[in-house]
Amino acid sequence: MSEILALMPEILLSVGGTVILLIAATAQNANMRDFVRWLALFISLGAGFSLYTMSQESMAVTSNGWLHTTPLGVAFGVIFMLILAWTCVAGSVPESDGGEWYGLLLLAGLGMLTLARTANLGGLFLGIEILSISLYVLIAFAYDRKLSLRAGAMYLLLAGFASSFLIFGLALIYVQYGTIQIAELSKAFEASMGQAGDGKLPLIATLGFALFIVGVAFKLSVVPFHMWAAEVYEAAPGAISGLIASASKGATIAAFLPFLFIVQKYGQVLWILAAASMVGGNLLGLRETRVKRILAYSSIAHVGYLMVGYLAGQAGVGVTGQSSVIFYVAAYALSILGAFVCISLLERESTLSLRDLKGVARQSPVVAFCLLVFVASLAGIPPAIGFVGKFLLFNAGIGAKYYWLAGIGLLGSAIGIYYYLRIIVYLFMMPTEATDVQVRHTPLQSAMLVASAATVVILGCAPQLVFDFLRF
Amino acid sequence: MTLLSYILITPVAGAVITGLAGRVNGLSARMSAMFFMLVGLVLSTMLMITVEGGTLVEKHAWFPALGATFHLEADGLGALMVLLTAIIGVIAVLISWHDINEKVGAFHVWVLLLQTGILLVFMARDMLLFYFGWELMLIPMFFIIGVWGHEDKLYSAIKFFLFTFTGSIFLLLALLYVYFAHAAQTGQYSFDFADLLATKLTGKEQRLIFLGMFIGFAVKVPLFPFHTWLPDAHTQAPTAGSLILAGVLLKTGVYGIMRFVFPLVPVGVAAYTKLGIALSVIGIFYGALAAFSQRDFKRLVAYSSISHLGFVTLGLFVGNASGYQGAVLQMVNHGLATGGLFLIAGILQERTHTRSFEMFGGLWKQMPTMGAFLLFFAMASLGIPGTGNFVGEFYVIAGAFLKKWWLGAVTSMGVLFAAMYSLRVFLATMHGPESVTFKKLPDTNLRENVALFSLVILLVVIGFRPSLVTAPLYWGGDKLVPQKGRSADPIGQPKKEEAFQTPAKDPNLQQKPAQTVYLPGASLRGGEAAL
Repeated sequence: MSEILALMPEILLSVGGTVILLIAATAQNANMRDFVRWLALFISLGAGFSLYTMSQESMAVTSNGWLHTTPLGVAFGVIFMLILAWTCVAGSVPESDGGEWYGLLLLAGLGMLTLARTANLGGLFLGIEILSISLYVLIAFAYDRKLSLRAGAMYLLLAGFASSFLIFGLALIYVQYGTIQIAELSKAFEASMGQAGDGKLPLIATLGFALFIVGVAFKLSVVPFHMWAAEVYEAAPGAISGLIASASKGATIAAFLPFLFIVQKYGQVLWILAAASMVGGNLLGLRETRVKRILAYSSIAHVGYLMVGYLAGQAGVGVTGQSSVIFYVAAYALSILGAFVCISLLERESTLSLRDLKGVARQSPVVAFCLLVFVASLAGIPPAIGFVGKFLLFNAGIGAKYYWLAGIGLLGSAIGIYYYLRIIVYLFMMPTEATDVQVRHTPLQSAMLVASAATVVILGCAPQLVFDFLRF
Repeated sequence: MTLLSYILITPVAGAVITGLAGRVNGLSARMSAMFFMLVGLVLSTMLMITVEGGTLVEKHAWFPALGATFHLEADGLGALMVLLTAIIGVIAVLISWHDINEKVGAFHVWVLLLQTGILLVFMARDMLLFYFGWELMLIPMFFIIGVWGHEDKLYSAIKFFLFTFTGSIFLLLALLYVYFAHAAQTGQYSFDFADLLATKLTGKEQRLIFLGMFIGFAVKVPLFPFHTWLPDAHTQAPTAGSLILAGVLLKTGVYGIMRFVFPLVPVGVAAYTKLGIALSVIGIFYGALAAFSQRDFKRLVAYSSISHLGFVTLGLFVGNASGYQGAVLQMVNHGLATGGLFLIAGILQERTHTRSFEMFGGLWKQMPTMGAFLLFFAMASLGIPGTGNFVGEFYVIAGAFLKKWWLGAVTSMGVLFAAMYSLRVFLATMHGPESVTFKKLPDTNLRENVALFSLVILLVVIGFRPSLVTAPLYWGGDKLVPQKGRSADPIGQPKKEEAFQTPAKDPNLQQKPAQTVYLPGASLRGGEAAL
């Protein structure tokens, strides 16, 4: 019984997702779509709630050592479920939808949750695959648009390629250590380092972890594995771009966090990846004029910042690197989801360029103001929560003596300020001709946007609330 | 909750209500903003009275995970700066009454938010909270310049933002370094400045931290090589923006150096005193010369700001009481006098839509009242006795003399340069052949006269009773002002001598042995009597 309770969130999501897909396949009308939407919202909130209320007793390894409940996992899981719920309500759904959208969302949520709670390598791979396969379809959801289809196919090919790296890496690791439990791996890893007496890893393990890092880096779109990001973000429906940037990356880093032990061997590699992302992402964003691509490049940089917190790990004064990573995933999700949804409201047939933002402030001050708050948060300017998030990451980084990395990151974010400012400038400060921007949004959507913009500011002023709520 | 948080909450509440009022019409937004600014002024005056002779402290839990508290504190200097902010705020709303006609509600919301950030900077004693306020000032100013500015507003707004943001990154790195050093030594995580003061830092560390913080603050001041954003921002900002920028925003940099850098890293300061002095002196002359050669009214005043703030930082870096008192005096005076000049530039621009000297000339006939005001502010700017600027500059120069006689000699030449550009402002607009373009400009109206006249009164009052500004420096138990080479007492208040000797309440602070040296500062009292 207790095992079923411990697996409740996953059960809810998988059953719910499948049922919604079935409903969508049989009955297609507007009422049903509305019903399905509320059902999906209810299920994701329910999954989040059952996760949140999990007691300390269920911390034991459950389900044959595949999933376990840790404070870290619970915090991540709750964040993902909230993201999911938010996306269900606020995201604009492409018109081709017959209800499948929400089923796929829930399945993607199942993937994220699995990643957050996995105790072994198998769960990790399973989570990544469930998440990715749902995302392939969601990206290409507007199948009447060529761009969308192309991006879906591109993501399918590249992610499949990366998955093969990942699974090969995991297999090699298993060959070397004979276990797939992450906790045991950690011990075996350290033992194997000392074995030869020279602190070197056995060749198979070296290769395995290298391939594993490549696979993860692709999912995180770290420079130099970032090529897919801009294309996919641009073509995917706004809400999905936001989901990939926030939850998909967040889930990957959640699964990657228990592998902290590899830092002692691969620290330099990760250091270079982080630095390259922070500088590269921000530089790439400078000359871009399409808004979604700008946010895509910015998300590459943000993963770089996250890596700083990851590298800091348990070190860091006051707030450890791990906690700062969780905080940042939450902060970043709030801001990037809001930003992408705002943009999807403005978008017409073609992709939204900076020039199309002119006159939005006049047309719809609410959306413009919300976008301002989200962009300020991404840029890390108080009183938005992004400021605190970035502060915590670099705080942890400096606490762990990654002075240069933190310096590079701060420099990168100073470069990045420029493209965020450009968005603000085009929104508010450009002389407006008669533009034909049409802002279409439901009252519910604008209410959700205002609410999350307010949350961004309130949590930015009182960041302790996040720690108190998520209890990590 | 004490007066401090009420002062902080007022503009926040004001911003919300003004935003709502702005949806009704422009006038109600103006009225609402004015109301909250006046409330702020009353509260700040009350603060000045409450704080007299001591400090007011308020502490709440804020972000325990990091060891950051919501720690507000006001001693004399803080209360003085808060009051200055409030005064400038009222005048800023007053002067925008006809200047700002587009998006009136939004403009006042940004002004009130800017006010919040500035007040937080002046009151915060927790370094995270301080940095929060420090960054909070950026976006409102960016909008004020970028939306309501003149021709080149976007360029200037972005330049302003990038300069100050990049500068503050160095500040952040330095602060974090101290935070971690403190945590490593005591095992306690705290951003509280009083705790951080107890951190033991080696000479090398102090020098590094000094450089980091100094760059962050110097960009804001701005000191000589970091100044290039200022002329653009000043010139392009709307009148209220220039006023706040000159009046208080630049002072946050000086305040930061005074409040945080000097007590935290005395060894670092000692190592780089020469650099600070050199940059200040270069700033004084460079600013003055550049001002002299400008053709744009506001640009001239902007460069003169660089020159004046050179005096301020010089006063700090000479490291004696005379210099300090002069620096604080100059901070306040510069805000008032330069603010006045910007108001006049704004009034002229509103009527003529130009700031170019070539278009002006002989305006005295048409606008005698404004001419009189301009004459006063130009004279104040060149430091004529009777205005606060005279006392301030005198004190700084006296401080420089105490440091090195030739330094004082060189610096006093700066006053001569100030005369050059100040007279040029006046001559180019009011005298000379009558302007061809403008024949019948309306003189200043009542609203403008009130704004200008309040500045005049303040400058004259400070000119005759400088102790109003210098005495508060000593309220916090004399922590801020170097003991060496100080005049016997802040001018005009000899009775309070005992109070200054009371040991600092903060056990972490070591009181330096008081060395009373009677040097030119002392003779100032005679000088003042002669005024």
